Amino acid sequence: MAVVTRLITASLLWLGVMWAAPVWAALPRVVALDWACAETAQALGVTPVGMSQLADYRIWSGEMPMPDSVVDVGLRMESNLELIRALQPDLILISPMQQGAEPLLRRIAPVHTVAFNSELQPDSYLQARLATRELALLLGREAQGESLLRETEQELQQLRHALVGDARTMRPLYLLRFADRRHGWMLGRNSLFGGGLAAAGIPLAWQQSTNLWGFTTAPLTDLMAEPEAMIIYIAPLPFPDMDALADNQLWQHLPAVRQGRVVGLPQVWLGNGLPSLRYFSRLLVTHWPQPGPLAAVATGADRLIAGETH
Amino acid sequence: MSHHLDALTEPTRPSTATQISAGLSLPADKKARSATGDTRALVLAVLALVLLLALALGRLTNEVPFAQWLEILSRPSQQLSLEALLWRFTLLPQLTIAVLVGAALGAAGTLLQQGLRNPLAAPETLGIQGGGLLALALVVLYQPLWLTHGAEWVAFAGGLLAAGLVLALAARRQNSPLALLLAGMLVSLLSGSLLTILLLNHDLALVSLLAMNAGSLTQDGWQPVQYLWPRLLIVGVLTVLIARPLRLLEVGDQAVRSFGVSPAFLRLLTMLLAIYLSATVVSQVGVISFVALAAPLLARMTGAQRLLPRLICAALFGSALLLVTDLLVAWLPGGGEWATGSLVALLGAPLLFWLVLRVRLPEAPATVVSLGIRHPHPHRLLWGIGVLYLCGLVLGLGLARDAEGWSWFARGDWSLIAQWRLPRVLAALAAGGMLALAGVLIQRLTGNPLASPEVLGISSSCGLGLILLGLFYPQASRPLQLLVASLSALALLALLLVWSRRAQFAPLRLLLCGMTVTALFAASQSLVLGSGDPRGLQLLSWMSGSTYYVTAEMGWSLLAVMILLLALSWPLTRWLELLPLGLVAASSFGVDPARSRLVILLLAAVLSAASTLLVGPISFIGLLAPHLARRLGFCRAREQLLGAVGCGMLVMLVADWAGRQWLFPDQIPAGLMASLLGGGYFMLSLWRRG
Repeated sequence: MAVVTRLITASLLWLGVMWAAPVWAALPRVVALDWACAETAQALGVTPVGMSQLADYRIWSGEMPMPDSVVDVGLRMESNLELIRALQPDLILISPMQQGAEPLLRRIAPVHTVAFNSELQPDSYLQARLATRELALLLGREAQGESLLRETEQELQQLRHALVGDARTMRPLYLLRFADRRHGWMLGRNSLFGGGLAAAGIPLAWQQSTNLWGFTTAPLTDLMAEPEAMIIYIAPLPFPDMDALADNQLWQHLPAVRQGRVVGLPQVWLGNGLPSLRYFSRLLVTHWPQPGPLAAVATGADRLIAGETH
Repeated sequence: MSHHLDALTEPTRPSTATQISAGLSLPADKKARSATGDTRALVLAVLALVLLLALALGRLTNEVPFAQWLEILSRPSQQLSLEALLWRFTLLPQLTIAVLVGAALGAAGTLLQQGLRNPLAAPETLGIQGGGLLALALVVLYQPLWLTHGAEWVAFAGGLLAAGLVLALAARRQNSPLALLLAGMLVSLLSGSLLTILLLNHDLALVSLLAMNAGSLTQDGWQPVQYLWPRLLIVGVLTVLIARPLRLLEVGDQAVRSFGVSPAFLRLLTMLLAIYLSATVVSQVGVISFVALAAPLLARMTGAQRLLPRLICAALFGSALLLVTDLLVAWLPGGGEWATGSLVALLGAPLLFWLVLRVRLPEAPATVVSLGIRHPHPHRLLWGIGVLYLCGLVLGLGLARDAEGWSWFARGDWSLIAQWRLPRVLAALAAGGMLALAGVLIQRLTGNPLASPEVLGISSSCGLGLILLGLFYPQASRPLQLLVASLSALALLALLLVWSRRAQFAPLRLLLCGMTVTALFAASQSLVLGSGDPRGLQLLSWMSGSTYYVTAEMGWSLLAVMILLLALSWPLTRWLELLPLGLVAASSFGVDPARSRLVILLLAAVLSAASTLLVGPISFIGLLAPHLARRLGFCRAREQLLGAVGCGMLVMLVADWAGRQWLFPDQIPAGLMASLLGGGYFMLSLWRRG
């Protein structure tokens, strides 16, 4: 009897594998020259066989998983064509910025351009959703694509819950990465993270124009424009530590800094896809300071700043 | 090649003090001598600075009325309004730092010029700033913790190394101004190429360096001012202490020795002070070029003669120059987004051109090019090159790295070689040949063996045209790019010819014009890169030139175009033989000067533009290949054309191959690799005494 059960189980298992096998065989061999494409494909369950600047991706995108089986195919702007060809991809994914190389890549495998940023769509979060859906369709992983969209949406809702109820969240946020001691990359509404925050109902303080990727390099003094705002900066720092900013008197005088309304986040890459946005949103939840006496201090000092007293 | 360089870089006159000071004199010197000149220069410099300070005061009072200044400055900063904070911690320190940095750079330039007895010495011509920046980049990448000890020491070490290299090279050539300039140019171009390779491969880690490269005076506190002024004060006191013996350097080493000071020690001390000044500036506000070169020139032109007045005038003029740029930045659309360092170089370029045309340089016009020792059987040499060339082809097409390591002929995958490697090899060959051809044409046209598309800035002017095109019309097609690049090259060549005809294409002047254009190009490039726009990286990789995008058909047609242009220059060989002898000699042999020049110019412009599109503006091949050819013994025009094209193609082939293999799977553009090879070769030949 036991033997029969084992036989049945084994054959069922075998059947299951056989049934699943065509699906695995249909999984395309993808080379992704754009980081957003690579991590989205990975999140959809299609691990790329090759991607560009893999070592840099591992350094700069924080704790995003990318298996060791992935081959580094060189720079993003001029990837190694001979190496890509040797990987025998079924599909090559690029961003619009890499379209210059498309005629060359097309001779290796079909090339698909996925735009995670677009001049036509100022809402980068929406654009990233569209791009994810497009990629899921292309890779035959629609279900996984829909669940990725759903999970991202849920995570943004969790972010909203974590931040709402805190008096400080009524404030708009400055989101930036330091370019050097005196300049920052200021993320605007049309950046992926800015769009994600907006979708969660959290306003961004940066109102000036930004480039196609949703940020602009500006002096830190521009953070004065919205004194009520909270400042979120994303690692890495281009200087050894935050103490380096102690020299920066204006930074020290920013209302947000004086009242401790500054949050530092670990590394996460600004220009990627929804997996990075999810990671960012989790980071923001875990690093968000607990509501406490700060808020009370803040309101008192704000009146001083506004110049109402003498 | 070294004997050509000898002929060129040896001082044309023995460098006794009287002759040097006569040689370096400016037109203004005639009108006013010594004390009166000094007073006039001081008055002018003070007036200029006072005028600009008044404008700066106007800007300050615009923001905050004068009556409130004392109150804002004395009150605890916690009680200040936002406007008052911005005024006190950004605007005021920014204007102060402009004055301090300008003075530091002006003084650094004067010290270098005095110590080296060379009117063209400056942190940028000696490669000090480039070396400092490269050192900073390396430390940011590999030893970031060193930065905690102070970025200025890193920049100082880098600047010291670069300047040491330049001076050592120049010393091998009796410290002639031309040799110094040439060595400085080589070292800064080499460090620039290395920096570009680092930037292309570590774009994300070096973001902060890009902002630094562009040089910004933006301030947000008094810390940099407090950091700079005591250091400037110490250097200033030291300078005053050594001013008297330093002044005697003009009279000669003997006079310094009689003062009880070793001249070598004095020179070293002067250099160290100047390099330290420039390194502190780089560490606080980034690279600010042009000021250190122009301010001392302005001081001389207004009539300052003795060292101390010249130092003071240069410092004042330096402050005025930076202040004027800073005020302009505020008026420009886009406001503070412009980096002052790049902008001062952009705005300063026309002024530098004007100065270069007016400054009298210590050299006799180079008229006749020494033609070298002719090889008895040039055609045998050509066969030799042919054999090497076959080896190069086998290397370029056959040996490569892949996922499993080194492999020969792609492990038998011939379609890979035909479709993917051959086009790049063809493009490299075409670019190398074109540059070599352009080099020979320009050298023979100007009668100057140092002329080349790269050295004269023709390639840089192509690059400048391409940057402008890329900014205003990014979707430009390749033919349009070629047209724009050709027109830019033609415009510059024509300008150079008109301007330097009076000086009979004196090598130093041509070199200076080229440096000015190269500086202009570098400034606009760093301005775009410093903005942090991801397209900047695209532009950088595009400007570095690459054989990457070439298809097989394109490769073959490029090679065909190169051969066609070589054939077109074949009937010109009579002109090319005679033109280096000078216009008078050439026209007495029946050469129509205007027509021959125009034809050669057009050809050279198209060649420079086409090769710039392929391998970028800095590759040295246009300089290297004609030299190699002549050194091998190809002396007549026709032989030199063939020999140079052969050498150029060979070197570019090797550069392209090395660029593909060195950092595999990443790659280095062929033009950058070639500039490393060529620059290294030229440094070696400068080093050899000949």
